[in-house]
Amino acid sequence: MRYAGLNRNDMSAAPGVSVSFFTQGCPHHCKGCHNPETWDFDGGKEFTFDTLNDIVNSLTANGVSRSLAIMGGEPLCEQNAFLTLLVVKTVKERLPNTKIYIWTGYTYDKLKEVCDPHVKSILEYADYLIDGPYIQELRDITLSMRGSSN
Amino acid sequence: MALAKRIEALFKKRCAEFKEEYKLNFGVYYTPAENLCHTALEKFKEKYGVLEDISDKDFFTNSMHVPVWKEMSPFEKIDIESQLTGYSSAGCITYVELDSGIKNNLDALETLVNYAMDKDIPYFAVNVPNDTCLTCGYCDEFNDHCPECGSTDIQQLRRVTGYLTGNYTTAFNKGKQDEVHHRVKHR
Repeated sequence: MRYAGLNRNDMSAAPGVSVSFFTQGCPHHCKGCHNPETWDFDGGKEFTFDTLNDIVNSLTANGVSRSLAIMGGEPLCEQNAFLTLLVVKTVKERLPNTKIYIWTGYTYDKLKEVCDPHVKSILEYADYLIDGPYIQELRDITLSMRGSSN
Repeated sequence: MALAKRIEALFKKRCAEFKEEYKLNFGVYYTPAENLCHTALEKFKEKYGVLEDISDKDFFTNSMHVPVWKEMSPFEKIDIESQLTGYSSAGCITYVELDSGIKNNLDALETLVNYAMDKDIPYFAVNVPNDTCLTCGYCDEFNDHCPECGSTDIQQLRRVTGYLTGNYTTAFNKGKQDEVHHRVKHR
């Protein structure tokens, strides 16, 4: 399993301080993508047990409670759904008060339609879902938490 | 850290002695060293030469600050500097360098300010890049052009010693310009 990176003190992703976990690999390839280096499913780094511990420990480092932000890459595609589920399940079990934000290029309706069991569980653990692809023609850099107005 | 504390304690003690002796108000001031950061370095190099991480740049890191090129989280920086601020009675500051996204995230800002106050930081500052497009007025962090309209007619402000003195690439002295280039964001 591979992942793109970890930002332990992200103050841009979600309200408050977050740990941002970037999954590796994405099927959408949106025009104007902010992170095209996360498209390749073979890119990024190897996810290990230490990575998982790092995420959990970072969520409360220095006694500061953080949210978990998961983005990518596409965290909910079939190649990444198992890893995303592992992360959200572990975090909610060890730190149940953690707010989880997930960014996906799929729309919520599409995810419900496909009905992947991993994705279904992930959505039960997630507190917020920011859904839909980035659409270059609808780019609006004044928006918070997303790049285009759809 | 033990050595740093010994040095600061000595300064504090000497100020207390001078205060008694001269009946004047002496205090330890953690200076921004606007010019000193470069002139003191030149004098140091004449005497001791170039030493790694001490005199191998165009500036000294001023005050009791963590060297500006050290990568660490804002919380770790506050933890380190808060151990030394108590020795200063005449003025000190602790700052963190952040991404401009913090401007839209009051919850994160509040978390940081509360953390600094809990650690007894007397004076806390948050530095964010403040770039303005002089064509369309858009404000954020730019590299060399405006992300909204593409104009290269931009003004780039960086808070380095308390002053927003115009474009840092022209308005800062040699030492502080080099310091801007070595500064890292605290993440």
